[in-house]
Amino acid sequence: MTPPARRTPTKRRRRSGPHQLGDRLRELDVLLVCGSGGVGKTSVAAAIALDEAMRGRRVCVLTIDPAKRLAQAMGLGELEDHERKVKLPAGATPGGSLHALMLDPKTAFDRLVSETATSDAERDRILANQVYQQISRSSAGMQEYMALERLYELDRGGKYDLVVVDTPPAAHARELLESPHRMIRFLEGKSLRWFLKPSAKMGRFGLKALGGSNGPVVGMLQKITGAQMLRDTTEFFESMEGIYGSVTERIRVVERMFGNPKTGFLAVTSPERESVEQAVAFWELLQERRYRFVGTVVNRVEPEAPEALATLDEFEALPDIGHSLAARLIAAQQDHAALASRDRSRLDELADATGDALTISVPRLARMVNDIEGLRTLAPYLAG
Amino acid sequence: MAPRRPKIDPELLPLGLAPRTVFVTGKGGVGKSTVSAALALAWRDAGARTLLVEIEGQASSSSMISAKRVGYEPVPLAEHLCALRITMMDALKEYARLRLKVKLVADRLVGNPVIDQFAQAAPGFRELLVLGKLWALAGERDERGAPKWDAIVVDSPATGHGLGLLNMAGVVARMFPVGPISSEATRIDRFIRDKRRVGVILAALPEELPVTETLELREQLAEQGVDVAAVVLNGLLVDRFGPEEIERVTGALDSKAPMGDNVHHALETAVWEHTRCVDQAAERERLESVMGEPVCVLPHMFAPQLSREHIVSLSHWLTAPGQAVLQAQLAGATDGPAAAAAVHAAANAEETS
Repeated sequence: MTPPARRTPTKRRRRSGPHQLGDRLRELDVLLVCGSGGVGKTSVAAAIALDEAMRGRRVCVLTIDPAKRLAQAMGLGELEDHERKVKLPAGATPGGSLHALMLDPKTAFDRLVSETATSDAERDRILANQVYQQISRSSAGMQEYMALERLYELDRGGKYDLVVVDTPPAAHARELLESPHRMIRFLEGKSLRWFLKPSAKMGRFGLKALGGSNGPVVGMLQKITGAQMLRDTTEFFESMEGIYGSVTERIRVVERMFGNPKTGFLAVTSPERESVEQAVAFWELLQERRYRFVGTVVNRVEPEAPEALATLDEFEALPDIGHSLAARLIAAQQDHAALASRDRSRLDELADATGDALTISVPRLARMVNDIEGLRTLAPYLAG
Repeated sequence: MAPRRPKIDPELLPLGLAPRTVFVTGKGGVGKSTVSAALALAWRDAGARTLLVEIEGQASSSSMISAKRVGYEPVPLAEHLCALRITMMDALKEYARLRLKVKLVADRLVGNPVIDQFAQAAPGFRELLVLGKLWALAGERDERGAPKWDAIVVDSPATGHGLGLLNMAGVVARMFPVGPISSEATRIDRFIRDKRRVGVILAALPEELPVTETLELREQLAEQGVDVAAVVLNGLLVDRFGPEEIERVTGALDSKAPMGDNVHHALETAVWEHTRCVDQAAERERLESVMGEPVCVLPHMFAPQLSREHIVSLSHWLTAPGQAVLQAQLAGATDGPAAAAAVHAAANAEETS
């Protein structure tokens, strides 16, 4: 029998017409790479950035906590908030360059405060506030927005043709889209400021505030939390009062980046059901908002297995492969074929559900990607 | 009539751990929910009255065991195994009732814009509500005055947020040294750091990033005085092929001997799997050499989608006999391939039972 021509994993699934990832990327100056933790988002973002740089574009990749060796390969030792130039491997198109930086949410928040504060005294008062320090350091919700804030600075600088953002891992990709609005609502602190301010100034809590319709609520809040927690939190909002207007304006500008036709979103998923479903939900959300969804990269896909699996007698032609070994080879093939068939149907589901967006399959590789060379191995799969 | 209290069988205790409250955390995508569900089942099987806890905004680990809808009140999933889901609103309502002692007034708090704003902004407030609820659950008593739950398994947020959750009580206690929040935070912080009652289970995959993150997390938790009760390495491939066999397989691939596409694929798959096993072993070794002790392992499940049967199977692997088989196999101390096949067969038997 003659073996059929071996199919390469990348040639399998191409429903997206002539436009491949590279073509679509060239129309963008911002790419937001989204997905939940542990799906290989950092590697995909870095591989795309590297590939675009190799093709002659000036690229910056904004990343969050990459693998240590990946960081080293990119010339990033510690958490640093400024861009570092990454040495491109041989064969790069002239003019191309790659810079990388890691997001430090606290530094980004501090800078936002510094830039919007009307005086040094105002800035210092905010930065010294205990509640501010805790909030700006804690990652809940702030990290997403601060990544956008940093992106805005980079994009505005005009030094790059493309900025690729490896967004913070989130339970759901929508958190990124909602982060500017959440940030505004949060900083507003309207209800709290309104009801708490008068009594805070008196240094005695809850007295004046008890007068309004929310008065009893504030009284109860104080009973629950104690005066100090209430006072410190209120003081935080008070301290933000002066910069609230300009910060909100800034956040709205940052938020507008989402709808810019030169901004694209790329989802990264694993072939697991939950992960694929999330990508579809994300696509729907972007459709609703008319944002530009480039496609989904499905990472660690099991390569397609032949239609007929091997049988014991087929191994008889191979003298070194004994019966027991052949039996285990067959068992392993069956296990992997089951995964391959699952992954194939997931890719089909995804391609069907996401219209003309790209569905890009990256096979599971034998070795983890953790250096420039490893990133280069992803390029052919991503480029299609 | 109160249900009969089960008897705890020390032989069957998963990870050799006496029942307690554990927070299962780790890097995103390592299988925290899977490990949580398997651990809860295993403790239940060992005779512990077990509660599996999910947190709002997190994946549902109870759905791996039962399709029952889980809410703020414990829902029985199986005999001596319940699950509940902590939501911020319900926790706030409950806490407010406790402090204000007037139900009607307390309920007015929830949904009030002032409260919402405050809960968002006040550092640690939401974390404290979750921890406070867990503290209350751990202290619950049954009709006979015995602890209502022997074991509480908390499917916790991923590393960064998980760490934030665990240290928040201490942070709040230091930030606001007086007032009701302070005494609450201090009490919860003491609970979190009580080794006899609370521990952390670090879930990881045998890959570079998750292992590195696990080691870092372990150090940070030690600094905070929180006990790491166990590290569970999930998704470990048991090598079905010895190194000498793989040489023969690569030999056959290189030999240019005529073979069908399917045979070629089978040989390539074996090489891939073996390479993966070698890499995984290196990561496991790195983890164990830093920790100075062997870690618990869970085998990779070759399943398109994990079902309840897989969770049952994993819960068996968590017990001492299960670990002994896996560890012996991974150490290569037994007859290698045959034992590996036995492990695979056993896993498959569980699937079909």
